[in-house]
Amino acid sequence: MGCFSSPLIHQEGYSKFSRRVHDKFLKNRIPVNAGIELTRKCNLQCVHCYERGVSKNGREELSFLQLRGILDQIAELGSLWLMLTGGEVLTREDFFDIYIYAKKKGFIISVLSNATLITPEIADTFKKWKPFTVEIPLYGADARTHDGVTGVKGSFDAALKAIALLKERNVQVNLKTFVTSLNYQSLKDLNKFAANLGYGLSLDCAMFPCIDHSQEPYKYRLKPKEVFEVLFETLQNKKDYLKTVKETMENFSCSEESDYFYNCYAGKGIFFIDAFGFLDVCIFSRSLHYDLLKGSVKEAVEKHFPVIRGRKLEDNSKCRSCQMRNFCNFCPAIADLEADKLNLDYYCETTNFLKGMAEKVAL
Amino acid sequence: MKTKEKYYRKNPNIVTREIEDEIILVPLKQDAKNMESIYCLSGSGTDAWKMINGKNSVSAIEKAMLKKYEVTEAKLISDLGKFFLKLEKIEAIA
Repeated sequence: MGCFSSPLIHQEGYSKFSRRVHDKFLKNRIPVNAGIELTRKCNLQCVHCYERGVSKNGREELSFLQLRGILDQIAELGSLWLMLTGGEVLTREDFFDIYIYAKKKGFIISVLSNATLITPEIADTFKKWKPFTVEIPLYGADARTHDGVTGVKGSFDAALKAIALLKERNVQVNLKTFVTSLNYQSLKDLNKFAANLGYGLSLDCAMFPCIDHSQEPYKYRLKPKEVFEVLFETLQNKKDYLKTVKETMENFSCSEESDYFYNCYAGKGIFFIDAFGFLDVCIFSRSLHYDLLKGSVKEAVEKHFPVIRGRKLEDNSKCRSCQMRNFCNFCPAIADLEADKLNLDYYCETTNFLKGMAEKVAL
Repeated sequence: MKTKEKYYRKNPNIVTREIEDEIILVPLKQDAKNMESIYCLSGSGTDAWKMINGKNSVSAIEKAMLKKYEVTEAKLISDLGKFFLKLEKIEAIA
């Protein structure tokens, strides 16, 4: 006879549930977050995009049938949160076939879209089959700035129309911006603009090279000082943050973990499948991918990921003993993408800037 | 109709997801704003949930659960009653 577990049902706040499930999965090394790139096609040409000029590897993009099989496998594995991204997902005519199939599998779905292709009909379908969120980038508070980043005139107006369509239908929208040298100066205006629309704005300024190793996006990368000006805009208490930095610096010591290249959630809490069926430990780490057309998601997670995560830093790597390591934006994915042009100077300069500020703060 | 003679059906707009050793109920129509709480089923709750199919009466589910679990009849009937009530309230069954 089995053990009766009471109560039979319990209600849990979303944040608590999310934290609990993430912790549980991390312990068991089952990635609870999956990302799928549905297409490389995009109707915009954003200056910071990491996917520009990428070849198709001689393969066609995954079909709906292939994606269905992959979604079945991901659900079977236990992943719960699903990010659908592109390119621009809505350039796929079968987007809603894929999306609704994923909804019916019970995934908690975030759709990343530039929103320019959202029509009233598409907004209606999102209303009927609500995503967890539609994440929409807004690069400026005016058309000149936004379109300057996207490279396409009219993209600002189209995005605003779409945001209004989704808002009218109570579809959850999250606005975010990627801060580049082109929109850095107008960030305050953008924050106000988003607030007037009724939304918060999440900021990101971690620039990645293109996945074909081109460093073109770096032309628009912020200077270290500017990175922190952006960061401090988002913090409630700058002094507390700097105190934490100082304490972490002072208590840093090399551990066995410091030897490993990957110290993040890549391949442990998340994984990413590109438009052609290659599975990687994260969205930017694309050099050691696993071909899903020749294997399974389960095999990749169980056999391939431990090999990738087992990679160690070179013996002479200055990162190993760097006391600022926990605050550095440099990651294995960048190392892979920069390939033979790897240059740590920008990251060292950035963390040294933070270190300088933290050292001035009294504990 | 008495509760014991009820034949509950699942709401097709609720999907269950098995994550490790627990089952959660995921409503198809909810977004982040409305997803303030998640409903999780225990192992016994999962068994009871699986038996809800419009063909098993509450009484039949009670009997099957009593056979399977080491629990007093009174405790099971009370817990199962609360379970169905909650599921009805969140429109997971009707």
